[in-house]
Amino acid sequence: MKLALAIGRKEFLGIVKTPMFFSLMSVCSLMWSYNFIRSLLLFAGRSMNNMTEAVSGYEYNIHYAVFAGHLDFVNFILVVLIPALTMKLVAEEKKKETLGLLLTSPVTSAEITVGKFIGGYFSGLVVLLISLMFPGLALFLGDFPIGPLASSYIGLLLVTGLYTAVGLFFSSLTESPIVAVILGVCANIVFWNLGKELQQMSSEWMVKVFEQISLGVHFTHFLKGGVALSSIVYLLSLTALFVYFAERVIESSRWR
Amino acid sequence: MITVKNLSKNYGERVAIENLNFEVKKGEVVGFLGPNGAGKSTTMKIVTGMLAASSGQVLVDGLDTFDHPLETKKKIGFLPEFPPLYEDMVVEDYLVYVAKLARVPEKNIAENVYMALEATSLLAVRGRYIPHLSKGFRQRVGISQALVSQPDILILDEPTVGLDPKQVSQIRELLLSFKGKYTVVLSTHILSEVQATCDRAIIIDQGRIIAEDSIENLQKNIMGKQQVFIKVLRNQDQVVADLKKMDLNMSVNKTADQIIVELPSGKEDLEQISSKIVQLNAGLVEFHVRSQMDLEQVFLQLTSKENPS
Repeated sequence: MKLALAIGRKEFLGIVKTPMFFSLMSVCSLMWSYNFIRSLLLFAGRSMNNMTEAVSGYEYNIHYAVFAGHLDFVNFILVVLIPALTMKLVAEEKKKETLGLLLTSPVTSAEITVGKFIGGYFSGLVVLLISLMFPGLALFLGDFPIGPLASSYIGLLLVTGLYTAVGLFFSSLTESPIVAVILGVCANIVFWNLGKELQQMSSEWMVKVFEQISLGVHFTHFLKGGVALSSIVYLLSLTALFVYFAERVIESSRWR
Repeated sequence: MITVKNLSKNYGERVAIENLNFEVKKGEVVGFLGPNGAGKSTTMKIVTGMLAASSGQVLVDGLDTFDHPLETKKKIGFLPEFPPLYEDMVVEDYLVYVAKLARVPEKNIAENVYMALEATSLLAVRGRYIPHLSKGFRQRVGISQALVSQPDILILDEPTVGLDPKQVSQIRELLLSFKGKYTVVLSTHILSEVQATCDRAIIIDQGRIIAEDSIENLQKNIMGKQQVFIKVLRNQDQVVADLKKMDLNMSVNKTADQIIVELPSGKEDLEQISSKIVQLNAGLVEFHVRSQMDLEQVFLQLTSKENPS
């Protein structure tokens, strides 16, 4: 585990200490701040207008009116951004022939893979931290229940793990970081949308199966303030499965 | 220290190495010699655990590298053909990282890194980013990463390839300084390197060992011959034909401007040959005897025997 942490630290610094990461984070911050402030102002205006009336509904709840849109946007960015952050984890090592250093060191393939996952995941956490800045500021300025926000971030923490594992797996399959990022983004989009289109055309039991597989469905539970054990188990299992696949691919490179 | 038994590796249909057997004793500096594509790098990769063999066994200090990968890898420092350097790190941080990977105890890391930097004369550039270093320095960083865990065995794959002559001589001096401190396996196709640094050479071609002996014995046994380079002004073909007719144990070859005669050491035969050429009045202008072939010639002779093309 100590070695995995050493590898993770190196990978984390390799990702975040780059001008590319800083540029991407600046662009994300700009987009999120524009979107967040716009929704917040809209919400504030609507609330002021209806202050005297007894109203209810999603549009008068700050979580759904402001935060949900922000969180969806954060998730959308993660779908694309995490594969870009993880693309180099193994592919670059293969391309530059540095993987040999890891394979000839007294390190197991599992330690290498877990280390790489840690590095990628923590860089994803930096993205999440930046995204948390906006609801955090709103919390500082106003008073509202934070339960749904907290559960949403638990969901984001879990899907970030899954995106990282998927990105790591595709990075281990190829020598080209670009191919890794394209495959990673495609896989994330497929996971996200699995349940959506099939609802209209498949039988009922198929719909139920795909609902359980779809990331979108699970994430909606978190967004609504629920922390379902089934969702946690599903996301963690899928993450572990992809980390395992990546480990197998790395180990198999000794045999080719 | 290293025992290789019946080692084979196939890449699909292609046989990279076939039934290799050799041993490297503690403290020896062994040259693993062969032309490009002979199977040197594949062998080095299997010995270091980077690749798995198709069949056969590698023992490091009595331990099978397949059954005890972590223990055996701890004993080996490896410089692959392309030094595995991270472009986004400074030299010292890189070595600290490699030391951690090699499971060097935390308290010894700083000391080991300093030792590796000092041994490879890299102290002055320890704070520099790796991509900012010249090729020679990068190669030294590669060697120092092999040293940083203070292993018993050093395996260096083509350590001087692509370097300029000055850098080559610096790396060779460095290799010489390893004598007596480490068991070294030096894989190379540069013969002078083996001649300058190694006690013993293993010559490999097309995945098989074709000679294995001390440099001295290789020179004595395989090259206990002398070569005569003869230049004549006239009737070169006649001279060649007449020399071939002579009842001596020798081979006669001609190039565009000279005749090369290869024969066992001894002066009597030389006298007969020179007399013959003088008798033929061919205008003898050069009669140069080289008593011992250097390693390069042995190597060419051995590898061309195996591969007539």
